[in-house]
Amino acid sequence: MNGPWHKRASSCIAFLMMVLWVFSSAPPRALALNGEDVEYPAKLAFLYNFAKFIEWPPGSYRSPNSPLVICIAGHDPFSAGTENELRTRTALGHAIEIRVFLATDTSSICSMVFIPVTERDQADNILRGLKGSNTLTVGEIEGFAARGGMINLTVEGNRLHFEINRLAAERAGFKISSKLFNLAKIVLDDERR
Amino acid sequence: MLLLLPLWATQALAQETPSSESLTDMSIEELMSLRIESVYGASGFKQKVTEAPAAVTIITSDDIQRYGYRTLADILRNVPGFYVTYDRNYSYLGVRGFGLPGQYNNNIALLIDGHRLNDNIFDAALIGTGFPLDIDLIDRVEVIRGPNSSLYVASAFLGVINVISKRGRDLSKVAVAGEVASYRTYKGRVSYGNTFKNGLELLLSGTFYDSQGQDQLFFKEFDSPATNHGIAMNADSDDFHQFFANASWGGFTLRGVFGSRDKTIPTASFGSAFNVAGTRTIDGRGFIDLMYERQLAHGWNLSSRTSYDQFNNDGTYEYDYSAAGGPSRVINKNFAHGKWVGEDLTVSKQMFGNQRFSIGAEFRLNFQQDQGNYDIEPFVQYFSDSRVSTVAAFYAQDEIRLRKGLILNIGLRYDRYSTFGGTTNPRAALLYNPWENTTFKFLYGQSFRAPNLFELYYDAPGNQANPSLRPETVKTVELVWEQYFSRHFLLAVSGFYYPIRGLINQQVDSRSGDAVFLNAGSLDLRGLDFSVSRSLPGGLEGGLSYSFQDLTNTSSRVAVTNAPRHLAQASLSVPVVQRKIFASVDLQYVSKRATLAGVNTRAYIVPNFTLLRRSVSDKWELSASLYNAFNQRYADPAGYGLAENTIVQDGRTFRIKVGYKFH
Repeated sequence: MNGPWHKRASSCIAFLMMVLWVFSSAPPRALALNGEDVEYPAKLAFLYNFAKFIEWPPGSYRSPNSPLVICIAGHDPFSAGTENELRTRTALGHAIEIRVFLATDTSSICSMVFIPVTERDQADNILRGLKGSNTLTVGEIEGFAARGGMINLTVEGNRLHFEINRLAAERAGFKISSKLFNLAKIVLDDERR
Repeated sequence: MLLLLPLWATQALAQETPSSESLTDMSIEELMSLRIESVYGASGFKQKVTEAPAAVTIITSDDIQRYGYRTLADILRNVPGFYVTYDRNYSYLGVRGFGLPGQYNNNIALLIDGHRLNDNIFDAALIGTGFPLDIDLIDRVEVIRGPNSSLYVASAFLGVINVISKRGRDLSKVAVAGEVASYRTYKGRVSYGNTFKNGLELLLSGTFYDSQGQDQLFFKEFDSPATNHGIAMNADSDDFHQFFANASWGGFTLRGVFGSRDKTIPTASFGSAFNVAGTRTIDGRGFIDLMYERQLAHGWNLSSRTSYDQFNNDGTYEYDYSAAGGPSRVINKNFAHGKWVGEDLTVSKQMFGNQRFSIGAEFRLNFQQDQGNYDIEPFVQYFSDSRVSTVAAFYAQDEIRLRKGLILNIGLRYDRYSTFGGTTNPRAALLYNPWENTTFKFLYGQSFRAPNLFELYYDAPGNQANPSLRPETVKTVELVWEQYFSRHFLLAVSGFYYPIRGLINQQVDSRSGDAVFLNAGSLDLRGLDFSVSRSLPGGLEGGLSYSFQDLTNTSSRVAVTNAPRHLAQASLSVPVVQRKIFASVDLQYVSKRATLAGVNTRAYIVPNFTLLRRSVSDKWELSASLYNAFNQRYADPAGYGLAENTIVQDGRTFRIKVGYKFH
């Protein structure tokens, strides 16, 4: 039934090679950025990039030293490690602060609100509450930008993408760098709603 | 070539090592090139794999291209703990050592975008060339192991396989693909995808496939002068055509799937004549599914699915009764035709922060369930049966975040079948995240498999109906440990125990000699899955898995057929040139398996190689694959209805594939 011995031997060698490769230790700096493990660290890095490439409306900061506050609504999907790392950075001269978004927060405290997919049923309420504030709204919920959210993170074909509702952001006075516009999918308000 | 692979791996590693150590400092462009994985199927809404209340494996369209997978069966044979058996008509999936021959995958729920594909007579789900969605249109496949997966889907005995199709946005206008493979096999596809300004998203696609199959197949059981010395000539052809449509607008998504496959059967199944070209089955499967999702007031969410399904299985068998003094060519027809409509309604509520609650109901009306068997000339009707039946189900689930890193997921499902009555099945999962890179899952669940109409009522000569069949049941206790080592290295270990009771098993009645299905047998399935996977930026990735399973027949001393104790799989994909050329290899090891005659098949290792090239602009891609590269001779155990004890599988074969996108 079996082929000549060398065929089986080659199969075994191939198998062993793969075993060796999988178990061999990678060079310490060869950081692999893959799998689900990377989704939320990457999304947090997106938020940081938004902070760097978006200009807040005048008067958003009480003083030039005020921090940029990122508020997370509901269950926080980010790990403490990545959040702490981000706290050591600055964006356009502002230190970064990360805190929980409370249902009572309506304005002024949060520079940016991130609404995780677990809070998708609350998204409309949160957006309504933030209307007229200087808060950048970022979601990861299907249709979030079309429903009036400013930026929405999406996963397409296993890659992260983002949508910008240009009108919503500009109505609130945000100036978004053309670099972001070039990479984003521009979304209009869903007028049927 | 083999010896070069690790070398390439090392080189690619050296090239692709990123200069920064943290994601925080990555540019948006870099972040957009990372690969993300999450899962929908395990609990009905999108969630992280580590938060899914089950053991989950995901295969993406990228994997499908790189490893040169041709069918869903090719994908599944690379999933840890899975193996595939082929009898030169259908492909059968074995899960964790459980893959009785002749079960048409009725113990798994196969879904396309959440819509159940299993039919309403055999509960069959075709995973080979009979799977009605072109493999190129698969965005990802989620494999959820174990009965624990069954809350959202009826009768998911050993697991759920959810195939998620591509959407209009994944294609840019018109795309074509063509392939040529061994045994005069040709395949072509034309697809159109677009997103329109008014929000309409559309995907349309059509596929044809034509394979001559092997010119000559040798079956030693027929090695006599009267049956062409065991050689079946030109009796292995396989043709299909498929259509797929997906349109979404606002909260509505309309999907249409249709496929029809025509396979010549070379094995002289069910006592038909050997070495004839007329014995074949035609399997058609289609559905239209309208989904509507809407957010209601006070944090409630509504999702509704209304669908129409149909399927047909038409077998033509040539019989030769000349040895008994009868006619030398009698055409026998065996058919199963089904049509049904269904409605599935789910309402969920997210409590702020820590709790998500959902309830749902499902109803299915099987308004056509016809089976029959007759000879054409002279016309003799052996069996004819028409039924109408219903299935109704209610389920509830609550996901509670007890505190950071601790999730409790509890669910209950009640099913009522007009054929046998009601059954209630609970499940519970505790997901514990003690440290950032570590997840433990403690899973308990119960599930059942309803007796299907074929098992209950099929009564053609040589078979005996058994309308008093009860569902077979399974409980599951499973412990999963998922451990990330420095982000690039995932280890998953899972130990499980499934006691299966009231197994619906085809047996031969000692008095009449007829085949009959009985709730006969109890099996205890114990095992351990072990897998490691590694992936690096730039596309280098690989994985290894090993599964041990012990399937004990607690009701008799007979060895369980087609139940390997050891399975191993390995895969490695290396970017040879800057993310544009990939060399990939995957291999499967299956240990010896008992056959119905009590003889063992031999263990085998089969490696497959694929070289994939994508153009710089991603406009075209070209791939060349070699399957069973060392021409290993191996065989699978045969099921009931076959005179053969084992069925020899294909030797070395190739495939060349070209794809082109018109932007």
